[in-house]
Amino acid sequence: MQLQSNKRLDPMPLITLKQVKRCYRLGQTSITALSDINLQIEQGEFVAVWGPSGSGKSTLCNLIGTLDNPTFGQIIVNGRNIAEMTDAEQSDHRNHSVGFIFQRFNLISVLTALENVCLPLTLRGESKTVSSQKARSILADVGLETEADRRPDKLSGGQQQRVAIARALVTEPPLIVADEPTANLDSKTAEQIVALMRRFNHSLGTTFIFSTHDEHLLKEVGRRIRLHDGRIIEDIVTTANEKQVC
Amino acid sequence: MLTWLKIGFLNLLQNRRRSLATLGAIAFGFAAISLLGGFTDYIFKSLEDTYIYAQSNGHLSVFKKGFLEKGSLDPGKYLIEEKELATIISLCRQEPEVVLATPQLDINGLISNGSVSTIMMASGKDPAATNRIGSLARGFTARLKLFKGSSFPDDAFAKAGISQGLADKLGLAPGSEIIFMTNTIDGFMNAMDAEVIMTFDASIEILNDLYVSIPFSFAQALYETKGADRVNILLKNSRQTLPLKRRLQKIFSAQGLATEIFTWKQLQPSYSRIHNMFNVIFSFVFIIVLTIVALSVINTVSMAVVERTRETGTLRALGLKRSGVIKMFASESAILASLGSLGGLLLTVTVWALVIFFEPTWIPPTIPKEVPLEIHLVPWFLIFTTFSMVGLAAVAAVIPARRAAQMSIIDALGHI
Ligand SMILES: Nc1ncnc2c1ncn2[C@@H]1O[C@H](COP(=O)(O)OP(=O)(O)OP(=O)(O)O)[C@@H](O)[C@H]1O
Ligand SMILES: [Mg+2]
Repeated sequence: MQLQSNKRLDPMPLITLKQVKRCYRLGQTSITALSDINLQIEQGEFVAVWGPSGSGKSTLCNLIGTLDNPTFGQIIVNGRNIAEMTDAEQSDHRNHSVGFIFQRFNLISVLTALENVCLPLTLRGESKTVSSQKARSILADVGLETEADRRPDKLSGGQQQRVAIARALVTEPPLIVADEPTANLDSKTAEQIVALMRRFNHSLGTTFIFSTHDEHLLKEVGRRIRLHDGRIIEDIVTTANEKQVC
Repeated sequence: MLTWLKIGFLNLLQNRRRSLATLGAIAFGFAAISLLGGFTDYIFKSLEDTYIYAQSNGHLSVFKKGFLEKGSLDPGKYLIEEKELATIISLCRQEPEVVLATPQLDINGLISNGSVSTIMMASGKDPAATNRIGSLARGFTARLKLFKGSSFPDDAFAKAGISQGLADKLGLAPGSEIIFMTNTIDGFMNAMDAEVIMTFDASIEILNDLYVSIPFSFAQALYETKGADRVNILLKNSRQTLPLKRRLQKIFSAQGLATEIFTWKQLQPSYSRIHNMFNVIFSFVFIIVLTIVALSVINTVSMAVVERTRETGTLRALGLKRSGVIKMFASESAILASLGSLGGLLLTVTVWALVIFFEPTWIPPTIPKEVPLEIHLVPWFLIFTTFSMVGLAAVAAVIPARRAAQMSIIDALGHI
């Protein structure tokens, strides 16, 4: 009985966006980057956000990753509205529950690949031995065990992005947000990176949300959210049975 | 924590030229403060030693209550009588901290070379005690010879040391015969012959035409008394000055003695004036140096904050809190200040060693003679300077680091 009721709780969405709107102030005028966003993302999904430049992909990724706060509406994570969290609480939330992969990799240039991967653990005060051990094993998972002691400038773009993926995964977060993770890579490497993320999505059950404007990369994804002018114009679950169009 | 120090250190290395410039500012600032502090310490110590040892006044002086205010009008009334004198001296000698306690009697009158006479002020001290105090002096004061001629033998009686101005006025030199004419305690006129055995420069110019040094017993004879106007006490350690003053005060009042005790600082008004002057000079330099260091740190950290905006945004995305951003830049700046202080310490020690090697000399304000110029290495002061530098650098870094901490994460990440 107990188990069953737990199971019923399980499908509680990882993230819920309700009536979300994000406006930017530019001098006197206000630009609406996103509006009327209603969205639920479940644990274990592999979601692509796509659309033309300026459609609001980055804005949506930032909001989901709690790097930014909505102008209006609610974003609910673990039952809490992130707009009501303090900055320090949001920082803790990101450290424990969100991994980030950036378009320009954003590795710390003075640190080695291994130290970069350790960073999220170091930030939460994890011991050096434990974090190094975890970081080494995850670097091996992304195929970079031999590059662990190299600085980012000695690695190729694809290798740097794999270090970044390792860094995002090292805390075993339920969610990884990647804003255009492949935009700075050639198409072959881009496909490898998406495949790598998909692999971890399958093996670890980590939820991935990544944005792209490259339609070629949408083949593998489980769900596509298409944005246009700050609105969701299409939300398709491809691998599941149901097909949903908004 | 180690990772933060490492990030800080590596970032400093990455901007070597800028880091070196700031490090240099901190090192020179450190050296300026610690050298001036070391020189100031030397000045204070030599003022102390000159008064206590070279002029053989001791650390404490015991007077009859009221002597310093009214004694010159009615010296007889404020004299320490023979019996009291013996009691005071024997009580002092019971204190283990006391090296010696010796009486002194100052008198005024006329001094004559046989044909001309002029007014003088004579200080009567026990030659044996004076010689002993002089032998206990430390540093250059021990080697300081402030007179021409010979010093008083321990049993000297009708001998005198004459200040140079007075000697010039009366045409006196060591070996000259002179006559002292003074009042006795009962108001009669008294005259005694004496021999000049030394001339010296008085410590203050206005005394140079007046001041005479004679043996205590001779002063007593001129004044026809068995008493003294004060007892000077030499201590083993200067730090005991105030505790012993309080202690002796209690002991004397318990014995029913109406005395007052003054410290060497109280009796040497120029000490606190010079002390204050150097404190003002030091504070000026200290504030200027700290301002320069603070500005240089703020400048360096501001540049680092701008250059590393995207890095800061990344760390914030990974979970670094606002306070963490401030700590990161502040600890980086503290590392810089620690290295700068180390450089400053090396500079200070180098200058200190050069001063010891070349032995420069100068004429300080209180000793009318060329003496060695010294710079003291004062450990607690060097530690204080290091902490000031490191603390200041960390605090100064907060000003630009706060800007980095307050920036929105997406703006920081979007920064090129
Ligand atoms: N910081 C900002 N200040 C003002 N306007 C902004 C800001 N960030 C984004 N915008 C605007 O909001 C809209 C959505 O921008 P967003 O960056 O989310 O789009 P995007 O889909 O990620 O575009 P791209 O493919 O170019 O990265 C755009 O019109 C953009 O100009
Ligand atoms: Mg974008």
